[in-house]
Amino acid sequence: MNTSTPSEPQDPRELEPGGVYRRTVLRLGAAGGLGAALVAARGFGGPVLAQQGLLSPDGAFAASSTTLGDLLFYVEAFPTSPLILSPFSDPLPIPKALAPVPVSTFSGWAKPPGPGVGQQNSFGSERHQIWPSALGYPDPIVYKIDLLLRTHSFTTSQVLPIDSNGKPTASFDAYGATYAAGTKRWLPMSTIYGFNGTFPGPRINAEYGKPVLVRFENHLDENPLGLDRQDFGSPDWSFLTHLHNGHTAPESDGNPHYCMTYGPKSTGYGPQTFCDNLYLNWPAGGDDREKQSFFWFHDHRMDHTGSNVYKGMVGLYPIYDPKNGTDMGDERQGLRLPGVRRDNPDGSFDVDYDVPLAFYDCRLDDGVTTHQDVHDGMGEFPAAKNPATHPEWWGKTFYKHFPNHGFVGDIFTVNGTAYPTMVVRRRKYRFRFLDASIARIYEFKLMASTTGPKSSASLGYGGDELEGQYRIPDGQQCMQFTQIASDGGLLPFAIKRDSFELWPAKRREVIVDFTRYQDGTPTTKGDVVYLTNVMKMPNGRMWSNSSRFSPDPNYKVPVLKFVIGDDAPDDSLIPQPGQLLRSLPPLPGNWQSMLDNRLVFEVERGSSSADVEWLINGQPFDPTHVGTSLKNPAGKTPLAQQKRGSFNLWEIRNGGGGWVHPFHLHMEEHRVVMRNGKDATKGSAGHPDDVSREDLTALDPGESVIVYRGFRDFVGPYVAHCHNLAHEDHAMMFGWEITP
Amino acid sequence: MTTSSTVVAAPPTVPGRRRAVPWATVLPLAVVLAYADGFWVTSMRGAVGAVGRGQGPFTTWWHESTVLVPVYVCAVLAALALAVHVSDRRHGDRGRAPLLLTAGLVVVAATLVGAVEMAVGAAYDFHLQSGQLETMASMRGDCRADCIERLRQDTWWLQLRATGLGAVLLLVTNLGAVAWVTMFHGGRLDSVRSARARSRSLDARGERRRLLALALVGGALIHLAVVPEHFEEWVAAAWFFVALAVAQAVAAFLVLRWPAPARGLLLLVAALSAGPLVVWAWSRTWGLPVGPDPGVPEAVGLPDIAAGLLELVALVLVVVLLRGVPVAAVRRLRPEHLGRLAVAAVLAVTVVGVASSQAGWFDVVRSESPTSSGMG
Repeated sequence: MNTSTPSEPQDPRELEPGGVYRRTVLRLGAAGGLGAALVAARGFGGPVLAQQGLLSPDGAFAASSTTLGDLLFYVEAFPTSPLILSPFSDPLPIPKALAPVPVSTFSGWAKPPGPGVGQQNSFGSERHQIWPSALGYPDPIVYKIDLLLRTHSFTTSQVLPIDSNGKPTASFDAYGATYAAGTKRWLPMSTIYGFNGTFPGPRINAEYGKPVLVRFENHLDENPLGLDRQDFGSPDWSFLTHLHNGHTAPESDGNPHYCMTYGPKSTGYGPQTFCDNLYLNWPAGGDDREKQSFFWFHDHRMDHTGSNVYKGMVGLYPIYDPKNGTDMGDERQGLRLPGVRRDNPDGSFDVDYDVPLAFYDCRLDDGVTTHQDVHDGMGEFPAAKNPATHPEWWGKTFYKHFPNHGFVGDIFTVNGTAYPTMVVRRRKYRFRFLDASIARIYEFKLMASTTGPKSSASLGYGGDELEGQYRIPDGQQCMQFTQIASDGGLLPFAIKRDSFELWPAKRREVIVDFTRYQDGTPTTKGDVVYLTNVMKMPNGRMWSNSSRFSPDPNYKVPVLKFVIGDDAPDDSLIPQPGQLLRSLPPLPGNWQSMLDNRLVFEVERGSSSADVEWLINGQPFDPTHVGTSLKNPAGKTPLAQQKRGSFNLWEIRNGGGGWVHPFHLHMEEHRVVMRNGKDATKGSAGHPDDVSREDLTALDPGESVIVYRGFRDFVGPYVAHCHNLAHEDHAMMFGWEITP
Repeated sequence: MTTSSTVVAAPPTVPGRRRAVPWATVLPLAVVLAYADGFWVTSMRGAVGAVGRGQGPFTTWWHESTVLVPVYVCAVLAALALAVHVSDRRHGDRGRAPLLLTAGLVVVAATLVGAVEMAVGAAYDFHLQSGQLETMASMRGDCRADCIERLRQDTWWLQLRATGLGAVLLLVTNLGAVAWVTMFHGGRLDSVRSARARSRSLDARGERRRLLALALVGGALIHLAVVPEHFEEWVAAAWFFVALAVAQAVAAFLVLRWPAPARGLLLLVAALSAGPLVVWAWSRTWGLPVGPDPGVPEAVGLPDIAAGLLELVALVLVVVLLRGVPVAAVRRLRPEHLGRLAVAAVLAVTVVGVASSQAGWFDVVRSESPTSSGMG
């Protein structure tokens, strides 16, 4: 084509020393530069992209979009919390069982609970779909929980205000005073919206066969302490409670779209209203193999679940199985799992050595970080005049909607206390782990340390590396966990584990034997063992380091200190290898033939939009419609509707983009049958819990999981959603329905 | 980059030779620039675009970038033409333009194309996001008119910033891309190539005819491309488009067949172009009096804009051919870039029109938008 080029002789002046033409040098340079760039991208970028599930054509664009968003547009700035100076000095709070309301009391209420029409809520518009008598169960035990505006303290320790480099910095107070860098301070109380005004809220110890009705009553409009509500939590002070993952009728399940269509016909139950959530404590299909063991209840108000949960709406609901004494909280009976039951005169019962541990990470305001998020434009909290800094809120909980990064804290708390200590007896304990965080995933190990915790700041760390505040540089694993249950209840067989991951909303139950270390050496009184988080998660997207991916040997953050105390009687047993704890409900022999007609849901990031960033099958949550499957192998796109009493396979895919998703399906727990196209019924690498029942599936980057689940007992609308609450609140949810 | 300071010697203006388009320079540049710019346009959409529009970015990228290659060909051609023009006026040597000038103009032209693409995308994103804001607000009921307006302003500002920052990214990228292509060309960027001369008078008349035929064929292709969707909506309209496409194709054939098309044929072509234009303008302004939605204005879309543009071009060319602009007015040593630019522009409009009529090729809206059912 270019007629001039071949006709032109090479200009001798273009000869480089050595006799090579400059033109040739340039061409070689261009080719070499391109090659070098490709090699560099593959060598340096490849592993990083692969870990985040981005090593694909779409992944490269996702990484690019994310980087652009981070660098140019997002304003998601986290404050650095002040350093807690005396960690592990506060005792671990262990909530006691809530007392039920006597019949004589609730029967005198102006609107007593009951099975009649209009008796499910204060609006008189709903009734309970199944009253316990229909199952041959007794009338429910009634509890009353008020939503209250109160205060909470995460620590009694003094703190040192530090900046993102870990250096001492100035601090402020609510009266306008400024304190010089280096000044030690006491933290102000944080404002919470709490179940009965506490964080965590009450603990209801439930039992299968004994239904429970909880009247949740909203008093959030009352402010007897004259508290500053700050700028998060549902702006209309409404709530909606979900028992995660009770087998519950839609009206009692806290489904946001149900709430908008029925009952209050609003996003939640507003001030001075109530709803009666009826928890039948009935296993799905009446099948004992479907029994679970640890629920929790939390807020589920549309668009503000994250902020309400973060503001304190968390409660605990262990559920025991008294049938044949299997798991009734008495270590002398049944499976002989650790626990000494004490029946209380008020009808409740407590179980010693059976301890719930609710993990929650938070940020405390540093007074200089601008409060700014996608909700500012919506006129929420006009008094805050955001975007603005709030030195008057220094030391109180900081929360903003960060749909892009998710929300992770830099202070780790257990049962509402930062870095607590628990003095344990020399015996076995049952611990019920719950991740009540917005987005943080933990990986726990039991470690010993001779030098003890050092602040990350004193070790020279800065920025995201300060998350967790303390490390045990010489920490070494010293004990193992015996895992006995997951979110779906008791495992078929116990699993010995060096560590386990805890994703948002997931539960894991383990037995720890404090009488001896893993090498057989007996423990002695005064010994210290740290429950340690070894998963580094700098933001809400995913981990940067964990045992499964690029372990960081220096990231060992102690979150709970166990101090070995006196001996104590112990009638409990650690399940023997191969000992059956609870049978799995059988899979049908033809489950693989159901694969073609499965429902397919892909969770993915959309793009920045004022309040909608996260999608399922390309659609944001629409409370007025049920979702639709992507095209399945049979070529169909069925609606997310299932007949009552049916079973089906659902596939949940992580559409990638560099995020992980803890995906939660309401109503019944499920069983993973395939992961990434491979049979997982015998377990899968990295996900040993796949052999159990779960209500939340952990999706690594780019992963796909097929679950088998039933749709029994109830009819009506439910939801499924990502339990990274920053994702859920920004539309990563879909409605589905059980039809008669 | 050492090549930036290179001054390219002007090729001799040999009598009997013409200054033709250096396609070996134009095409690689257009392809590299289209795909490089497309990367940022797609990535920016993923960062701030309407939710749901950033799905399947790799496919979006290669679809849209491929469709826009002819547009980039136009941009590069225009830049080369301008470079030659400036060089001619400065030096009067009728030679090749200096490298820096040529490269600079190519960068600017390509950046303009990319920025316009980004701006149009941003406007569409804003349109979608505004609708979404109202939908979400109506669902929740806690965001009223002033709140929606605030959110809309925030969104507008976000898109504006994204477009501005995107334009800077495009500029830097195009600088690198042009430098890289220049290196690959051994440090030169031809603005013209020397080729054997042809009969100018014959060429000038022939080019207009060929351009007219091309515009007619382009219009026919777009009309054919929209036939399937019209068969689903209104069969009569589908047959109308089939007939129109056939008529335009036949007219193109006839225009090409005779060196001097008859006045009657040209008038027929004029009617074939003006008629659909009038019908289109009517349907978009007041709505057609017949059809599934009589009297309801139809939405303006990319395919119909493209077809309308081609019909307008055909109409103008018919007028020019009817008037018979004197051949003597054409300067003998004028480079051929502008003529090729016109051809490339018609091709670009055709490609954009056809591609935008096909689901999932040049848009945006997810083709497999799942249907859904009311709750409860």
